[in-house]
Amino acid sequence: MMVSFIVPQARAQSSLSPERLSAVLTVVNMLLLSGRPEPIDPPEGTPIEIELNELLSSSFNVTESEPIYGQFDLQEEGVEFCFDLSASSPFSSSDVVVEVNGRAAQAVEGTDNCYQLSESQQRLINYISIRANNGVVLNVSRIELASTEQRFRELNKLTRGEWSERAVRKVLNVFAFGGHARTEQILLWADMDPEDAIQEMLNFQQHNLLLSPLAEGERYTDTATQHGTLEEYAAFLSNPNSDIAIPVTGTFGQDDYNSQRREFATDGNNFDDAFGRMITVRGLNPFRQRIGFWETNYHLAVNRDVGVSGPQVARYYDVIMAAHEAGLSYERVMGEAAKSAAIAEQYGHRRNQWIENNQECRCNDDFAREIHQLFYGIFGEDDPNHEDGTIRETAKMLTDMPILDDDSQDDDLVVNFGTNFHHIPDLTILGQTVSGANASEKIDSLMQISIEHPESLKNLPVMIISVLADDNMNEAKARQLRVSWASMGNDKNLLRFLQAYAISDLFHSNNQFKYFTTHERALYMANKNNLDNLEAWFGGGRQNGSRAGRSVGGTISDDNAGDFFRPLANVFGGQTSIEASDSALVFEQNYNTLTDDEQEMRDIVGCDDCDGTAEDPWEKKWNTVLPQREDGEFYVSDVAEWLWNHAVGNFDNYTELERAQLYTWLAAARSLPGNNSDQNTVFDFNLLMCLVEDYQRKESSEPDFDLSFANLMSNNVYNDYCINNDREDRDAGFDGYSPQEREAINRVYTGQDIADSPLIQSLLTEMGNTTLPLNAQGETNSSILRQRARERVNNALGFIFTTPFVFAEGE
Amino acid sequence: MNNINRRRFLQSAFYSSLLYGAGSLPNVVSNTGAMPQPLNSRVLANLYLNGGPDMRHLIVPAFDATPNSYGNEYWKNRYRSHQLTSNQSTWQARWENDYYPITVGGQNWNGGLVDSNGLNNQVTFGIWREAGWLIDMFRAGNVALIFNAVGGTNRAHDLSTLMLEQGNLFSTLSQSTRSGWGGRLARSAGGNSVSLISSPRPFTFGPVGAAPNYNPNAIDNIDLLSVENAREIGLYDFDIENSQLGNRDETMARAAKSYYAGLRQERIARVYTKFLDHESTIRQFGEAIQERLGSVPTPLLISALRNQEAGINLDPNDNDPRRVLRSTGFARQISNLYDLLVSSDLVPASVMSMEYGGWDSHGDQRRGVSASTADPNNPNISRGIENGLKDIFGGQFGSNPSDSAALHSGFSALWASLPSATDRQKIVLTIAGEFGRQIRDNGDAGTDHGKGNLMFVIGEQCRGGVYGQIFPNEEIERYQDLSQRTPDIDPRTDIDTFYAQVCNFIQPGSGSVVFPRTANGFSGEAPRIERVGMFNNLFS
Repeated sequence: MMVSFIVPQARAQSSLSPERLSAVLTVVNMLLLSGRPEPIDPPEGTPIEIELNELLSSSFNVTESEPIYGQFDLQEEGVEFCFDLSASSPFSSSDVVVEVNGRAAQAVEGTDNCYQLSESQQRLINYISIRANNGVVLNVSRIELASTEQRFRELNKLTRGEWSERAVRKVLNVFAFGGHARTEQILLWADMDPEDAIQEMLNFQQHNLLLSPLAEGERYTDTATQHGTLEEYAAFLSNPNSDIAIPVTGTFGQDDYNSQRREFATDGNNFDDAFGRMITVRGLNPFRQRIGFWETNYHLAVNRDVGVSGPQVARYYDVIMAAHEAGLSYERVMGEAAKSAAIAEQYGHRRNQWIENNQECRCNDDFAREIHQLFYGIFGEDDPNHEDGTIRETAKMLTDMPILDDDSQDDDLVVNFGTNFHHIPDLTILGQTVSGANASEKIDSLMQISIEHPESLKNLPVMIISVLADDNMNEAKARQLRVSWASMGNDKNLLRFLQAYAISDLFHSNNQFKYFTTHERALYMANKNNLDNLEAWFGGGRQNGSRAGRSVGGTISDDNAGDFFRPLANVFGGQTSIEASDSALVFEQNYNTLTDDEQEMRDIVGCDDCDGTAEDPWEKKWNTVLPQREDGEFYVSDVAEWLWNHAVGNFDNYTELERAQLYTWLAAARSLPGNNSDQNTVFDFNLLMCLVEDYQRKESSEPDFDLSFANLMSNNVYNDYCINNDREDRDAGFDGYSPQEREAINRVYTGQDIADSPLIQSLLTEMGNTTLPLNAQGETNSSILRQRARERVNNALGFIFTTPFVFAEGE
Repeated sequence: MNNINRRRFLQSAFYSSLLYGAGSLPNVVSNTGAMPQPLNSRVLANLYLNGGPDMRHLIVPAFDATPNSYGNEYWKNRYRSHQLTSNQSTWQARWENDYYPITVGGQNWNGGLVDSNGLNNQVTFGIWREAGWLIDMFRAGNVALIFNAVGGTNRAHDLSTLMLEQGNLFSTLSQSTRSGWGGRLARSAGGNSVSLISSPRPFTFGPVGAAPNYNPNAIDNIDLLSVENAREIGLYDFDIENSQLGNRDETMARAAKSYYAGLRQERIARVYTKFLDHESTIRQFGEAIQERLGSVPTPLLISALRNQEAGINLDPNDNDPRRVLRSTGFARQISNLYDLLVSSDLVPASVMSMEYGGWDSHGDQRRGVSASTADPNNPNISRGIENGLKDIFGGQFGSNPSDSAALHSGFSALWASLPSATDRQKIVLTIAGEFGRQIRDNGDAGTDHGKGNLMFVIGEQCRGGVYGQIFPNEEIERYQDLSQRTPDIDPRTDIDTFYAQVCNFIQPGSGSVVFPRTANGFSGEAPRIERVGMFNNLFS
């Protein structure tokens, strides 16, 4: 009988620190058995009988002499047996012995050690035994037996063992532009039942302080409790009295771009950027904004380039999101959208009139078509009356809908539903009677019909997920989505649907992938870079030569991706995922900005006067989020791993290649203690290896030859080797770098090269053990040392942003 | 435990000594010189008119005061979309002032023009006068006007667009992963499929496998090149002649370059491979074309499309030069097209893809009448669809243009700037939108979606003329029959029939491969064609 395991993911992906190992453990061990074996004898120890779908509240101490074992009978379905494991003192994996029906399995300290057995893999009586070794006293808690076929809103839900930190990060990446949640919160969600966690992660409240907590020591806190709608937020940003890190007057933004707070108003020139800052600021709700962005720029898109005003857009956005927040069923949300001034302006039906005298519809049929097609996915397939019937009748429905023009506070922002030029009698639309005294009432009537139309039931749930989360949709997935959607009966709610999908095996599948649009990537990278609200509000802009935060609008502009609320394909929506992924320009701009304009990442780690406190200059708060060991130091190996996980969301592609590059960015800087240039000259991996090789080539026979990393970074070495026009090479007749140096600088290192080289491995070990002085104090140049350390962290993050792994989410 | 084994390393004898430059685009060759080279193969440039253009606004029937005549019904049912009053005299004035009249077999009809199957003898139609290049090219016999054509069989933008670009009138929205007809043609011709816009359109997506036995129902973009700006494309790189210390942007560039070169030796998840391909393609192509274009200035007429150039399109108010085109994006595409054509030895391109949007004219189809009458070349006046028509078709061609004072618009500037007449003869343009508009205007001075439309095949090897009935008589009844609430142009000719001939021009024998419904012995539903054999001699 063969037993194989899927090793714990976090552990397999990198050499994890003990701290991290104890914090993040999701273990799914698979036993692959053949046939139904005979019963085995019970193991030694205290039996703990457990029934299917039972979670034990008791915890158990386990020692070498006092083992325990869980016991359950054969079930008619696959099961997952889970427990949490802890101890009062650190222990290694060899200190715990777990056997599943007599076969050794792996367990590690932490939560969610889980073992799945399909129905065919189970015995008549099943035993999972747990024993300690080497004097360790283990504590076993949250023992649970659950079905592996758990359903949530008719979709297969991830089990406790499958729901992991990685899964949580994937949800955040796709549904919240990465979110702002702290690592501790992400781990908490990973430990929760996914149904409970997803309620906290994805909801439509204006403020979700779990998903978007304020930074530690945040100075600007208003957004935690106020300004949660787009209109309020734009008003807040544009108000000269607001307590925010944006100048009231003067230069702000790009060097040559004169802008003031006023421009962030809904009718200002920078309203687009106000929305970007709404997503990157902390204290609000990036999931709400993610859905709001999709609704108003894709599904129910309106376009400022065709005359819809900023104030109309903001009101439209808020009306839709208020409806979602109130928990309205989806057809009612779409009804609110359909009755908006923005839509009436977009499609021009604000001019539509029914002339009763001569029975003439002075109408266009633009929205009369798209209210069916774009809102619900109703194309009129197999309906011979769709063109001449449904669409023409819908045009009559959309009559007498002028936009209010009365100088009131709602002037130009709401539709005034009249009756004088409305087609009042009943209409036959989609084969059913639509009644109402005016267009508003008729729209309400139609929405209830549309949501249950067969084409809508078929297409709408697939449209939603295809754009939001899955670029690899197929008919099998579509069928499951339709079943889930239909299961909500006559109260189809977008949030409930998305929550179910976000914890389903449809989403957490290696058959799912999602390319990021430019907007998604720009916001994602900003959220991964920015740590506090000053950065969100600066957004890469300058103040008196200083800069903070990462630009969102600049990336969108570079990519020609169309500003927020100016979708490239008009009502058919903004740049698509596929378009973004196929665009060489998108890749090129990202690459060139991060290389040629590398300083845009490095310069944003400190600012003397960004918030007007020269005595206490703003410093980027990496020291509050990066992992710190008990000795208070920030080790390069920990920081590199944390950054990769933070910026990518998993360790699938964190190999020797990535490790070598990140360690070098974080550790390889010239050492000049006491000098202001200390740590200011950095190496990339190729240049470092050039230095090593040149030094070896020229000095390996010397008695004081020392290949240690510390020596390489000292002026004993870096001044003399792999240097342009160094004396020895010049004497040998070489102009510039010697051929050997050029070859080293240009060499391609594969992951295998790095893994196979004892020298490189030794260097990586040394670099990994180097510390970053993010909290340097007391030394004469401590503020400079802190700055250099922050710069190197941002360079490392910038390097990650150049890789393919920020362009998509998928396995 | 590290993650060294999570990615599978390519088994390769050469990987350990690789230097930069392993590319993924098979058809980019190293630079062979700094001077433009003549086109060595034929090229199709396809312009997609996004939104469903009303070509019955560009080409109209002569006004006719006779009741129940086509020329009367058209203007009676379309005057609002021309921003006219209901007074017939305004219709007549519009016709006489703004349209260049051509009578098949008569006035302004060149004897070499084709009236396929004699469907239009003595029919008079007018081409909007500001489309001067189109008029001149037509008169010169270089424009095939294909009437009653259909690229999308329904009135939904996205579905019809998919059908048009895939060249498959049976496609459904769930079949977006099929190849485009441009991509199939490029594969058949052995050249690249080049997108001149930032996001490649489905038209350019290639099939899986080699011609002629490729799988058209899947996508492999191995020969797709996306060039949004040929003069700037490229990846930032370090310069090894400089000191490698202290310049951190070069440090980052070196790290990224080295990383991508190393990563390319490993297998990563499918979703990320596109970005590896982008990196090598842009690096390789960028280096080659920058070297070429560094010695090839942008021609003045092309530059003037989007830049202020001395003496061109002077503002009557201050005599300052103005750009020529309304759409700077289209101007960029024309510039790109030129750059790619003069670099064809570096990037053999069989197919180029362009786009012009703004045709979904449900309301105010024609705008800015008084302002444009006073200053017709002002690119800042919003004129509805006439902006696009002027950008694309405006200008002049030949020694006897219809308007010798016309400024060169997009294709006009390109045609006038190409280095040799031989090159022009190797180029064919196809221009079409996903569907047409209804034959009556709506109550909002616009037109709503319809199916059939006019499409264009343009080239100096094309046998110009009119293909299909210009103004079908049956439409007169539809104008008058109010029980028909959304009458449109009846589709009579599927795109397969004439695009297959375009393919054959680019690569002999490819038409029936790219458009299998045109193959001899095809057993399914044959494509519609107004007259059998109508396009057999579309190219001379």
